[in-house]
Amino acid sequence: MKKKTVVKVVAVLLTLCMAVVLGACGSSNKTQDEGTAQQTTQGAETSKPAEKVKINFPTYQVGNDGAAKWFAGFVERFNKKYEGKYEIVVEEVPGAQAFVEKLKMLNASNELPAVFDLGLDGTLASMIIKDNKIIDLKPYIDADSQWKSVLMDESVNYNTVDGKLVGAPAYLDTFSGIFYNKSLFEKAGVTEFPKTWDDFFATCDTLKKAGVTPIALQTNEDGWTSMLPMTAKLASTEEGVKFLYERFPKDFNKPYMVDAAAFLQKLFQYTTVDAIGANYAISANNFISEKAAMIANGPWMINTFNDTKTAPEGFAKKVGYSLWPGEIAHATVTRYGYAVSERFPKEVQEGAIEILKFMASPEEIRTDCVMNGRVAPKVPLTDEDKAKMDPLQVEVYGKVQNVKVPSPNYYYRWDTSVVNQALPKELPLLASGKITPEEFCKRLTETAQKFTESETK
Amino acid sequence: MKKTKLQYVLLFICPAVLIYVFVFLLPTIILSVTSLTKWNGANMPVFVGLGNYSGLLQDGTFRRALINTISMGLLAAFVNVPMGVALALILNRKPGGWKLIRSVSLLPDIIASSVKAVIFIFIFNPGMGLLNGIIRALGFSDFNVNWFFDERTAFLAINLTWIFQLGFVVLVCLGELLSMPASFREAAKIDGATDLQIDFLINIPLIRNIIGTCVIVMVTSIFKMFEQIYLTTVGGPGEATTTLALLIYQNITNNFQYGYANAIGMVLLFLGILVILVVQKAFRMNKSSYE
Repeated sequence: MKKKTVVKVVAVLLTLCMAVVLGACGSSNKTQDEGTAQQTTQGAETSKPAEKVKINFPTYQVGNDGAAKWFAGFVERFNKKYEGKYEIVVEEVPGAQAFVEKLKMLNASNELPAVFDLGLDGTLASMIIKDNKIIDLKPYIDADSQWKSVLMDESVNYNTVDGKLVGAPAYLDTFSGIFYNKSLFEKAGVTEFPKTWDDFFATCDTLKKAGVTPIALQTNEDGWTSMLPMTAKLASTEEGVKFLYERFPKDFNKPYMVDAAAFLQKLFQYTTVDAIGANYAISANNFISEKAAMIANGPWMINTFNDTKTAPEGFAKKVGYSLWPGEIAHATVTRYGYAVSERFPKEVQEGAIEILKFMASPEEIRTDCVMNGRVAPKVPLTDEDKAKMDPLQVEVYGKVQNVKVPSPNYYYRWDTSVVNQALPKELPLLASGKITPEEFCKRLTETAQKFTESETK
Repeated sequence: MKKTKLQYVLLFICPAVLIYVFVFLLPTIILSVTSLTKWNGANMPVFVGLGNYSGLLQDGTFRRALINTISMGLLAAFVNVPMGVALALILNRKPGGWKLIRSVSLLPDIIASSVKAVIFIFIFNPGMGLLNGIIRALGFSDFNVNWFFDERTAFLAINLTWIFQLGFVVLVCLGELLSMPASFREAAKIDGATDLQIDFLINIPLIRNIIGTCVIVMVTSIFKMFEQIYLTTVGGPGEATTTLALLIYQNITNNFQYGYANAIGMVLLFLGILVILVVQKAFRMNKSSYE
């Protein structure tokens, strides 16, 4: 073969290789996703009805998440019950924020999973709903009297958009209150948790005088352990509660919001030296390592108190739980629930609905309550259930029955730009007194309105 | 050029050209087109002309991010690169342990940005941080600065996370210096030049093109810096450490404003091109160092 011909052949082969490589690069995601889709639609693609339908279920309830143990058990029980018919294939996405990021990407590429938690990011949820990417669950719930009977009316209302049920309504609630270290309280001579906001600060002063840092706070990420006290204060007024019920508020320049911001600014005088700039992990660690006497959080944190990898032996016994003054607690009921993607064949959608139905069965609800400290108003726990609970969970369970003001949670109600962008930037300034509470509210307003402006551009 | 030789040339540049077209050129075209649209990433983009760009002009956060980005670029050009060149010139004199210092200077370049961010979180931690600890140990027992989250120090603290990252500049400049004929230095020595005079009048002019390359690489990489800011200050407090790269991410992930974010991306792209043109001109990079 002539040299020239060899060169030509090599050139053609190399170009072909290049095209294949580039083609493979370009379609690598597609291939992977199609693989998942094939897997998930297995039942639909074959004519044999007996063949198992696999349902991809991405979740953040894995690893160190407080509900990881319950979720793993739930999957095992579902797969056992529906053996040969449906199978949940768990896709582990550790961390709620990472889960939201993943969902955003999947939404952008029109590859939403068969079943997913819609409510973690309110802004993303509203986009998915607006684009009709999820199915209406109302016919399925209406057809199942047992499922319907356990649902909470408030959640049904919240999840109903234009007459459609976009997310599976909640049948249980998780109340965030405040955990406190009884030993540190005793050390400072405080015998009971304060009942009024004035007493709350008096207790903080007493703790401080005794050399105990009163509360663990944070400014980074979504400001969780700081925003819970602030919004609890906000919920202590009628207008404040109304404001918290607003979906994606655009105007934070309200007197009650300013008061709540001023409350938080004052609270930062009673926190650890590293609170400004701290993320949740640092804040939680400050409480667990007994550097701070209180932390605002929900009952899922109890599992970390009992875990010797994260807390000292016997730490859980030192911890008490209280509602905020005025019997206020943050509820999770008014958020979007699990949604079922419309892009899958009927078989997969039905499998996804079976998962939600199974989750709402009384046995599963009780297991969830026992393991995660949640409360299901329409499925009371038996004494046998309570006997299985951790003592602190029993305390939480008992106290949350007295909640007078179940306040909606800012995390699910406010724009993502406010929660994830404005709060970590503005909280350090508020906490250090560089901006006034009025300025803080003004800046949150500007961020919230920026999104609206751009939408209308 | 003979036909066969031309075929070889085409053959060998083909993969690079294809990769460039598909990985850089096409995305850049998509970026520029979508910067003229309102697009939430999920639906079809809607053409809005220069709407996003006029929005940028009125956006205070963008202006602050632009100033921060340019300031960081200037720090890279006027502090980071000169420090790297200075270290390369010192190592060129081969003092004891110069090989070890050369290797050590590369360490910050091989540590992942996320790890560096965590390291600096601990260094700048107001309570148990190394920096405050040292200052307190020096006798300032009440010293308590929250470096990353005090508006006055946050920008400085962010820049301290990379400003001493000299490995690339040292490696490239030292390589060029070591490859220079020894006769230049010897001739200058015979003429009575001091080491400093040799560095300023012979070495630096001769490695001019390499220094220019370093400036382009460092400035453009600082323009793109993201992890160290996102994992520490998230652009705060306020807008003290917000940069264009971070703003692009935040507009996409928090606001779903893909079109607006791409307009910021175009500004960043033009900023990079401007840096390349200015540096090429300033360092006369199209001419040989020996001209």
